[in-house]
Amino acid sequence: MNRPLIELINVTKRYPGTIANDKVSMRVMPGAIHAVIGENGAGKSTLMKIIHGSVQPDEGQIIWKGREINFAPPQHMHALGIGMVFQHFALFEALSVLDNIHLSMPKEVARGETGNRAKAMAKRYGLMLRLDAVVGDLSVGERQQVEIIRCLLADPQLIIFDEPTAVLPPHAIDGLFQTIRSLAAEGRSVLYISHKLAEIKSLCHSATVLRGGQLVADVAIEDTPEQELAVLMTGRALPSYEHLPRTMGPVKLKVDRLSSEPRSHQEVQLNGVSFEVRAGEILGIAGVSGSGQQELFDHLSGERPSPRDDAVRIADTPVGRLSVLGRRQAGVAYVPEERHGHGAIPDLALDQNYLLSQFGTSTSWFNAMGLLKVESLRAAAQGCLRDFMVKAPDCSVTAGALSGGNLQKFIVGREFSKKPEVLLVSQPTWGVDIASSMFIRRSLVEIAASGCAIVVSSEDMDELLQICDRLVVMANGRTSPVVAAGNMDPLRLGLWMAGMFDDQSEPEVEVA
Amino acid sequence: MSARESLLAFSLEPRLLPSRWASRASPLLAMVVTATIAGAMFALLGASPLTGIQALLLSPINSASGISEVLLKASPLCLTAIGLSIAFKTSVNNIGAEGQVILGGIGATAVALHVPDSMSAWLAISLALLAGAAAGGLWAALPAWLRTRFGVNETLTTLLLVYVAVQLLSWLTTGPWRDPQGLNFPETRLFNANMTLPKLSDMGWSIWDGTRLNISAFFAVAAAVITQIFMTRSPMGFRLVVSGLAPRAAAYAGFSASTSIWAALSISGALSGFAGAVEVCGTLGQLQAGWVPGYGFTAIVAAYLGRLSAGLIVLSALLLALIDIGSTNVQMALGLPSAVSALLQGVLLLSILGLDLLVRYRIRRIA
Ligand SMILES: Nc1ncnc2c1ncn2[C@@H]1O[C@H](COP(=O)(O)OP(=O)(O)OP(=O)(O)O)[C@@H](O)[C@H]1O
Ligand SMILES: [Mg+2]
Repeated sequence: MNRPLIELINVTKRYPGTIANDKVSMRVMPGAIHAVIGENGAGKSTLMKIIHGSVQPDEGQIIWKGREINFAPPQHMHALGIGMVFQHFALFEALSVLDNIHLSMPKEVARGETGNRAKAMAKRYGLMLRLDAVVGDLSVGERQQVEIIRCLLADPQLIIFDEPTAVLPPHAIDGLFQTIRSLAAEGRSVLYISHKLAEIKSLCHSATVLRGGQLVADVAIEDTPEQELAVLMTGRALPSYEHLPRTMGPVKLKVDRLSSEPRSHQEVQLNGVSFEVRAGEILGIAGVSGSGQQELFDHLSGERPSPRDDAVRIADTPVGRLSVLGRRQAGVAYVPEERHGHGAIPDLALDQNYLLSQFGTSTSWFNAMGLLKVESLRAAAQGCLRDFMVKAPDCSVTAGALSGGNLQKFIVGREFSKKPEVLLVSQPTWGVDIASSMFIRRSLVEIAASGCAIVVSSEDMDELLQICDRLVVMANGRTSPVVAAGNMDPLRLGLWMAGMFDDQSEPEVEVA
Repeated sequence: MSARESLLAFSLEPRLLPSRWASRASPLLAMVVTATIAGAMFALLGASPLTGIQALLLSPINSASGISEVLLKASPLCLTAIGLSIAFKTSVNNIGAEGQVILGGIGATAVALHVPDSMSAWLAISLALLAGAAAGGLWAALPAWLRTRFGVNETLTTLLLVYVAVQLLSWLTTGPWRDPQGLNFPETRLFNANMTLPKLSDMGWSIWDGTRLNISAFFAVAAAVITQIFMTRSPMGFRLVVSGLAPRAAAYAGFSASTSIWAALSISGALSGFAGAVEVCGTLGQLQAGWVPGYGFTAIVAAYLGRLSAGLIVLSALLLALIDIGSTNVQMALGLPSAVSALLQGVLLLSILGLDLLVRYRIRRIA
């Protein structure tokens, strides 16, 4: 059968100040895995939301199985058989995983039945699922798996994945690809968005390339080399990554047998975490997400003070019990994993979001009368937009209106421009396009070269290998020995990720 | 969720684009709806709807003294509602402003009864008002302590403390503070002249001659201006807004959750207390056991009606005061029961909430 499952004709969506989609046409055949690629802010998510029904376009047509549908709300699209796994998850944080899944099920399905189906689905596709965990306690990677299961349970014919692998652990990515391939083999269609071209090459059949909201090309993946895809997306050849020579200074950040007391049983307990980072050095933290990385960053940033003051030292000063403000004063900057509601507040304007992490720094944003210096704040926020190439009309738009990658660039820019002594970065390029990823990585290396100690946690092993000097693996709240990045082979990595560290490397158990 | 859908066979769907003008216009529409319902109600009760609405909305403001009464009613309501809006923005549910108002009255009275009448009026009045604000703030700080120390929900404790405040008022006015020359009435003696809020007519504003209007209206406007600046431009205001929107981001910024709770409750309590002090030193001139401010609760309506923004709350407080006085006029003009006022306020709030819902959602029949 040669009729497309879904066809878009000249779809246009305008936002104040931007045209997110400009006369975009696209067709997806049954059983096809179709990629939508483009830089941050190219309009991929917007186009997907139009198909999903959660965004209403200004012009254009959608044809589903040969019949034109009048842009209908999500419930109708859902009933037609369109499901979506969002880039920013739509889960209720206060509810359990099971409740979240149950809420999206038809009402005649009992709660127990939902649980069984979800478990079966998780097993079938090799996904991790803790049904009674509260979603608020899950790592981003785990939340994503909940979203995927929730979507698959509705048995959709067209499934949209908006950057599903951004934070998935490598083994889950393989599993997800198996899932997607078997879904396609069953005759379902998949729309797939990713910034990782290698994934697109191995998974997808065809691709729609967007640039600045416009359709640039429709290509068959087989006939198009990666390099060409990149050029189509960016309109220029990619800069090559260069290694900056760096000199290491004295130890800037020292974590010594850091242990934590979990506040809920969902939280991973840190157990004797130890490592050092020297000025000018980038230490990478590898590991399956949910192995204690979040808890570690909470303790390093000061959001959770440590029981022992000398468990965390900055330039030899114990700071373990210092608050966020105290540590910021000591030169700590932090880019959290979750952008919405942690690193930024979607409902506030960008300049307000800029102010969010400025308390405790040496710059004062308040005048002698204690009032906000609106103009200088604007100027600083505007400078951040410019220096980090954030696509936004100006700093008075809300953070929620930015595309995922652009918000990430904004947060990264905000933290980098503090010229920190110690920089904590969780998932630096999650959802960021290739060119910007390279830019962020290059900036990381430059900041290190200026004498900053950097801790980066990432699911993306290639990224860590590219920028880090040394690596440590987290598993189950414990850290492996630290090794030079060049000495990390896949076998060792696999063993360490499973928590099997060498014996002689066990941290000493003596307590001061 | 399922029950809602199956019982009604209607469902609410989020609108794709909540329209901006609709959200601006909804308070006006709500007034039209309220007026229509009021008219219908008058007709049902056998009175002429037009006379009723005229008595309700126009009769209160057809004279200087009428306007002065509306302003006098609106001022403490506005002060209290502005305080509440700060708490609500912080996602702190202070619903016990009534108790904090009463404590403010008690605090002001404590000063009024013990300060010599030789003290200069400005100093005396300032002391009384400050004491009122402090008392209200401390009363609201109690739930803050319970919440931050023991995790007790402030919605419950602020409300329960209203009843404690009422008991305290009645004990003080029947016991230690009762006027010995007062023929056993449960009330204090009348305050000295240096303890009463200056009237505008006494300050040389001849248009207000013969009215009771005092400087409380200025306090309300000043509070609105200061609060607006505080919330948008001060570090503490920013902290409160952030804590209210995203607790996790507040922790990231370095704001402790308990400081925000303490600040939100004490500030809102202090404004309520200030309102109570203003009323006791203004229109009442003494503390009485039977004093039921009432606007401690109405202020919740006023705060939400004004969309938690200080400027709009000034308007919503004026509107609610107008309806309150208008209802009394309706009662007299048409011989209707006194519940009319509460009823109309309820209708107004419900229509606001209902219209707000329609701005963001639309109703769909389930096929
Ligand atoms: N609700 C909104 N209000 C205003 N502008 C918006 C809104 N949503 C998206 N935009 C703008 O539309 C453009 C396209 O955004 P979109 O989220 O579709 O990009 P994207 O291709 O998914 O990017 P990314 O790879 O970063 O996720 C961006 O410039 C964005 O700022
Ligand atoms: Mg996107």
